[in-house]
Amino acid sequence: MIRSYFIIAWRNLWKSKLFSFINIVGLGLAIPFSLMSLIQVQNAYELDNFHKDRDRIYRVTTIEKPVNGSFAKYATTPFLLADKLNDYPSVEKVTRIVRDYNWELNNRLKTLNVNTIYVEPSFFEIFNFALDKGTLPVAPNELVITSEKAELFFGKADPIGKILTHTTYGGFKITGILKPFKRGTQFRSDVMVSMATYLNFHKQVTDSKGWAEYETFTFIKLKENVQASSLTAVLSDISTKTSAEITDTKKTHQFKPQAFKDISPAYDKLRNNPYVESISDFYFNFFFAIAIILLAGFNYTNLTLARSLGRAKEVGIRKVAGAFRIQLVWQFIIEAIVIAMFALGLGAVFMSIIKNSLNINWISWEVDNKYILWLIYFVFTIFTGVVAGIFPAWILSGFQPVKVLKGIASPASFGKLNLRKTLVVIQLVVSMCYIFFMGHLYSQFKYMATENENYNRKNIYNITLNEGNSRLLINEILKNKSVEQAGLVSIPFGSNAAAYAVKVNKIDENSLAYYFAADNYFIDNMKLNIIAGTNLPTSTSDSAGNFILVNEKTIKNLRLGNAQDAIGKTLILNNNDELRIAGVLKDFCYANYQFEVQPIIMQYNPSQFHVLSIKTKSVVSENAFKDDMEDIWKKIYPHDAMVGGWYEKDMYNRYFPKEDMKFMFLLAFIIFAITLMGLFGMVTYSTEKRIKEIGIRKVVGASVSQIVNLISWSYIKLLLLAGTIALPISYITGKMFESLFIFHDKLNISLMIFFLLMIFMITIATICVQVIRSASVNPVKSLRTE
Amino acid sequence: MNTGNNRTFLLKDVDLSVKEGDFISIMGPSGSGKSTLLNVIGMLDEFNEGEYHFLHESVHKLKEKQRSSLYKQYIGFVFQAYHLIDELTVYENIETPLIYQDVKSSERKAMVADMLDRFNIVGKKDLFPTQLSGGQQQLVGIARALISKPKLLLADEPTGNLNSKQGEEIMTLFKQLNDEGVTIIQVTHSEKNASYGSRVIHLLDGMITK
Repeated sequence: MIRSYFIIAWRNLWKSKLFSFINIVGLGLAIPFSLMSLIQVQNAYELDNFHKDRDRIYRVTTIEKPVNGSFAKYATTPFLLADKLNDYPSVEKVTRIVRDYNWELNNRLKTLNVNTIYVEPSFFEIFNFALDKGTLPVAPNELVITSEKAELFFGKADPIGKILTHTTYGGFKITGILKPFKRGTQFRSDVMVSMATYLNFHKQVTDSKGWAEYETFTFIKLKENVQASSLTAVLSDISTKTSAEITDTKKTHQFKPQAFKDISPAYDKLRNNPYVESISDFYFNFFFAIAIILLAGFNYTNLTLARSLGRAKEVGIRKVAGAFRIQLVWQFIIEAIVIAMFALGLGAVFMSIIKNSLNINWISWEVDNKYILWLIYFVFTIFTGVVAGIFPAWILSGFQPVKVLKGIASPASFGKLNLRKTLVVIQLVVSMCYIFFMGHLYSQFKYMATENENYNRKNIYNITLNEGNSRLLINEILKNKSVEQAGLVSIPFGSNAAAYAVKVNKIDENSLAYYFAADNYFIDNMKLNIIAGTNLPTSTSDSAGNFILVNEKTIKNLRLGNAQDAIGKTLILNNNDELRIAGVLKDFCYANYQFEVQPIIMQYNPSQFHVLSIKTKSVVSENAFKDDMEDIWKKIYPHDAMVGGWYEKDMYNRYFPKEDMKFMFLLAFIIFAITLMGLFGMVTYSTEKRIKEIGIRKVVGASVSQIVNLISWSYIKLLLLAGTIALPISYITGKMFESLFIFHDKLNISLMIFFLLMIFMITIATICVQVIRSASVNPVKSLRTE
Repeated sequence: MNTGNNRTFLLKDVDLSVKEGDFISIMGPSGSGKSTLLNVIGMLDEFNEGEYHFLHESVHKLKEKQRSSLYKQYIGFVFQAYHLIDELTVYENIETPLIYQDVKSSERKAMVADMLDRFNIVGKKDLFPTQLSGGQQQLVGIARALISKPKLLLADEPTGNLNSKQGEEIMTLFKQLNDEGVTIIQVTHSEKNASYGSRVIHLLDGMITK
């Protein structure tokens, strides 16, 4: 019986090629996103599966219990916990890991974001991470780096012994190169820094107050044949003792062991648990994937119902031949499953195309066990087929044989036209909302990538300076006729600056400010707005270093009154230098558009100038200018290559997430394509049914355009309805998205209108193509078939 | 039977008893209720009033599922418009009822082969209905009706779409089947076809007149 179901399914698909094409391609386009989510699920189960003796490894978690308030669960513990654990005989090894965020390292030529963890040497003994060459990081400001990042910084040159600089923590010596490791690990990182570094900058974690802070991952490897229950007892003992040390924080805590294999996926949401997917993350991702599948599934439902009359006869005959309804339901479901299987094949192809053409680092593509993955795909596909097929199967199998065979069954008689219209409208609304949302994203990223409101990016060419005096280079460059002036800065806007401590009086508490070393020409080049006082003095002497510029936020934080009052006041920087405010800058966004403006301080400080910011005349050929600069550089530093770039371009690359936008665009394209194909199919099948009506209308004198108007109008109504629903939704989501950014452009209404018109035009064209074709048929032909 | 607001009887006061082995022809003008009567007998159509006894079952008291398993077992249908499934081959069309009766594959093969043999259509078994002439299609339709060895064969104008020679062949076949013990009820317009039967029932406006 099953075999005959498959045969009939295959023949039906082959016979109605348009139907099969729309459904297979539509579902095929939709399926990759589910497949990606499935990969993610399998990845979660395969996280960190490459360490030996995993069953002996435990992570310590902390339950924080405030005296009043609710519990919080952490994947981390106090720093000192590991020291206590070392004394217990059942423990073989303990290691601590601390994760740090928002690290940028530079090699003077290039700044890169790096993913950072602090580790102890025992980390490499418990977990299977190894060095390719070099030694483990032990002393303060030592690190090991992945070969991938090392190559980005240094190219082919040997990175061991080279220095990478962090604007706040200073220079780091590279002691080793990590062997490549699997991406699926909770210890994912580009650099692993010595724990001694962490202690240097976070001394407070080792005093007794540190017991109240949970920032450190503690991993334990037990000796062989030791029961985990002994560890539970040990930890509970430590919990009680250490809770006594933090009574002034009005909370207690409890440490618990978590078996290593139970870490991922996380059933419990733990704080500080990066790279471990939780079950709720799966739900979130599957929601989107399933939503797209559903949109494609709507097409199946719609088109199956639209051409149901063709199948009605078959249903009638089968029923007369003795089929029960449930048998027919299965037959139709199997058809849907066959379609889904073809779609799976096509979807796998689409997915490999997406994989090869996009470079998005937050999607993982690999799993360890491919067979399991394909089994999961297979089961998922059957599930998809059943979901898409069950509703139309139920409707179709309900035909009364006597009605069908008498020829009085009609699609109108089961009154499902409204359902079909509803599904089409939902598809259109989702497509529109998504496309509009993509428009909002695009506008914001474009704004961030190209704006010149906060500081000037136009006609600026940056060159990274070599160590030592660069006066000679600058003088040579200034002789170039395209150069207007050249400024100096520690680090150009667009990156994180060094965090400095600042206060007004010696006895005050320090507050945080971001520090730029810059000269007056740089301030000019950036076209910063000085609302009070003056620019930094023009000087090559050191006395200029006593003057600083601050922004409004700085004087607000330090309570220096209004901008005029602040001029001439002195500030104490890093508990050391006393500096006089020469001018106040209007607040502007120098790096992060999402967050509020931060206090900044700009000082003339030649020892920290690392970048030369050259303002060129506006008519200058970009490539020719670059060549000129390289020639000058070569004259002065014959052995080094110059690193420089047009500021506008650099900022564009920094802020415009090209690959992500491509992915978003692809998604929009797919959603819209699925909708259009469904609409096309529906128009085709319903005009097919009205072919006789069209014939009669023509015979009594209707013109082609009158018929096209008549028939298209019923679909255009749906389109207008969808537009009316989608526009306000999109406006609200646009406003919500905008509010995520402190610095944003105006909501781009014209882009929305442009998209709306595009959607309308494409949709109407799709409808009309088919309607015109049917309307042009010679009525003699369509009426003779009776 | 009710249509719209008015209560109209499609069939009224029909009192008919059919013995095993009968060959009955139902005649009457269009709209007289011939097909409705046949559908009621075939348990495809329901009726609002009256009783229907088939073998030892009271059909009017049965649930749909029981009814359908009853006709699955005992009744075969032949239609004027053949009603073959276009997507299936001749072989598969004939096989269909057996599939729904959960007959084993090997048994099915034997039974279908017998039937093909009997109707001399072995050579056409892999063709699709649209590749056959009307007479051949009707033969397939009859073969399908007979495959599950029904006791009762219901035929709604079986020769209506055929030329006279093809029609004659079909009627001869019916006669032969009847001689083998199959009860047949056919609806027909033609006196000649009716003459093959043992008994003729005339219907007018839903009532038996003769």
